[in-house]
Amino acid sequence: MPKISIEELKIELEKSKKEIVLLNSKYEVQVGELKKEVSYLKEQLMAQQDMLKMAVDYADKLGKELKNLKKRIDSGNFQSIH
Amino acid sequence: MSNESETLKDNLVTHHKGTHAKISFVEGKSVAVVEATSTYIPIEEFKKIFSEIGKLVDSKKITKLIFDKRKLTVFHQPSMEWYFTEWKEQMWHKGLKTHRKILPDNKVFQQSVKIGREKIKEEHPKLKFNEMDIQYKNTVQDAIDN
Repeated sequence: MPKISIEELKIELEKSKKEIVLLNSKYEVQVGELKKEVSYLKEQLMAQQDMLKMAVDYADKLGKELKNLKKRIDSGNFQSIH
Repeated sequence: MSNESETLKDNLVTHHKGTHAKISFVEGKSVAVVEATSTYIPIEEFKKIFSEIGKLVDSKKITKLIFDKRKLTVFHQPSMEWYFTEWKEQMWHKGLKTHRKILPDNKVFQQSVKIGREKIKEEHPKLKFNEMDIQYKNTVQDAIDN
């Protein structure tokens, strides 16, 4: 095994430290991006849920209006506007 | 379908490319186009995009905005509320009074837009957007021309 001087070891150590700092910052950026992506996905899912609820509520409302209309027609108490 | 597959008579110049939408303007006309490039635009990005369009409205004196929503699959009511009650109001005073929208071929989305818009109208009857020229079109070219 070749002999390594203390000076060379110090240089190697410094290089490793710099690499760790770089990797750490890259990791932080990636985690940040991932967190942002997850929060976007969460927002999208909630929006999707709200959108479907809105459509279901509207369909329910239409269903009730149709039922009422049918009742009025069946009872003979219905006047067409035409 | 995005407007890239459409053949346009007019020349669209890209002004800004965001992560979820792209802004262009029509060369020689005071028309801007915002095209959704993802299935959903988070509210934070949505506000960024529209603030960028605000700058374009100032610099290019834009009077008509075409919002191409064909890529979208999810409708977000809070974003729409901000868009209608704040952004469109500010833009009205800058001369942007004509809006054209191209919706995706998705009945739930289309219905949600309709219900959402009615809801905002009911809650804010005095806002300027009630006086704006808002129409739905099928293509970017049709939206530019009419």
